[in-house]
Amino acid sequence: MHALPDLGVGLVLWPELMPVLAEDDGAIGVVEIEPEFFWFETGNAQAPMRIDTGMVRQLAELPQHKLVHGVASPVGGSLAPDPQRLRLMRDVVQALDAPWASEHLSFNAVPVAGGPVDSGFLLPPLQTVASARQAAANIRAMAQGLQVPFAVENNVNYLRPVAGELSDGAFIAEVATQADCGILLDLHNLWTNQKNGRQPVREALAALPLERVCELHMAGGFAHRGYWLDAHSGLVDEELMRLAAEVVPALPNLHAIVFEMLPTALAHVGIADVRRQIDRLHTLWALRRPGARAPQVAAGLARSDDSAAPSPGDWERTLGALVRGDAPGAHPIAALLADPGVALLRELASNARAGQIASAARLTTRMLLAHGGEAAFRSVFEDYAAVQPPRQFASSEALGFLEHVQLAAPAIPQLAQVAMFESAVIHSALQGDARVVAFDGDPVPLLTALAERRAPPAAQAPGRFAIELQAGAVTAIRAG
Amino acid sequence: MKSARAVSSFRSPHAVTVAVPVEVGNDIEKMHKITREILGRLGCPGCHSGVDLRFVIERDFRVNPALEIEGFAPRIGP
Repeated sequence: MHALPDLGVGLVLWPELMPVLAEDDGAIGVVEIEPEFFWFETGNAQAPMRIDTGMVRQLAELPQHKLVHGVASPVGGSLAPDPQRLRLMRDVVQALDAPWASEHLSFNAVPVAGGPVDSGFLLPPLQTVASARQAAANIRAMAQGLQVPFAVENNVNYLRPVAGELSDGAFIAEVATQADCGILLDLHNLWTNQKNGRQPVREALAALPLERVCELHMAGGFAHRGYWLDAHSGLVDEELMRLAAEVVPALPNLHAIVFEMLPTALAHVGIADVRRQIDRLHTLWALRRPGARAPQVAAGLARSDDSAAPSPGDWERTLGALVRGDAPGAHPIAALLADPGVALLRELASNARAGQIASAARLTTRMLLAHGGEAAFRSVFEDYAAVQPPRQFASSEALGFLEHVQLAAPAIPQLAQVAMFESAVIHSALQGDARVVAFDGDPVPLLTALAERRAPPAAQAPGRFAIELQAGAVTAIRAG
Repeated sequence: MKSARAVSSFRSPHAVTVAVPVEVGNDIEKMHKITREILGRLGCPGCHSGVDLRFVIERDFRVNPALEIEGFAPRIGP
């Protein structure tokens, strides 16, 4: 990782954060792209995934350097990288000319008979030497597939340490050393782990091969049910800024500092605040000491006792099932059954599913909220979630939910037609085909009100209407 | 490093050009806006391990018929 270019300070880019770039005078040297945001599951077995090449072309035109940070192919589990996703990620890396790429030291799917089942959330792997060996193999496969240097991001972990596990720092060190890869040091993740009772940050850092750190992530979070959450929900805490000021001089090969904030945080964080945050990260960037010798890892690190720990497979199956709300399987792990962090993960995973649906099936969600509030949405959502496993991609989650709404047919006027319309738009876009959606009343006032967050009209102009779609776009509205 | 041209917004590649009678043109344009919004959110959500606020925002964000925001105070948790 020594030959990487200095990219400077930047942020994870979302459409809503584009105004930050519009007035940028050079402070933002790099934008980090989470490529799966622009991918779709097509439902076509021959080409199950598709990339939004128009979006990628627009990103490529930006003057900033680009980094590619995967979120759907984490390397910490027993499933090897999916070749199709790897090809898509490589296409994005090449299109954006990213000098390196990264992914998380987590898992998000569980191998079971019949094929992998999505867990619905990034979950922490068991921290043993055997798990590290598997993660290192995954990383080598990703680096080979992507054809650029690879950095693994240390994961957040809301669970209690389990007997026989490596410490957080030792596990990351073991993975990075075995894989011979870079480290994307997410300082907020380490700090979150410390605040939730896991290894103190400085102790974890002392175990890391700091010369492998090529990128630093900084983010904000908040407290929830007694846990500090890695929520990317705002600006960086002052305590974390001070900690970063200690850490940065000890990272001789640091080439980028990236601020992570989800666009939903713009409800309470202004664009001007984001710009000021970038400026403050430049004060950290100025503390770098390129080429300095990294502190040596302390000798005599604790090793895992794999014989005292559960198997990685049992860990993934138990944790995955518990987070989905299923029975824990034939070999449940007692430590997980007793860990209150599992209930938190279950809540966060369920919340993420609801978020996927609220985002990609927005009009139908608003119809439910307008006709019975959260209880109406929860009633339909919980029935759906009880029978359908989570899907990583919003397109698939939305289509599953919209089908469920049409079958469940709650007694809400026009709900099924709104669901049918949203479903047809998504299908039409993914398949590139033509669709027609029939309405019993004029759909324009209804759909417009929902899109503008207004209450839907109490009554519609009667009559038979049809909306015609082509490749996801409306081509005609017919009456009569 | 000004980049105003490229940063106005992301554009959906799914948009198509259609010719429609003037009287329904406004409705078509409204529908285009709606479908663009639907199609802009079909991929994976962002990287984080916290509370996903997207449903909370839908639940708590309201505007009145004049399109004025009536207030937004997301409640997280029960």
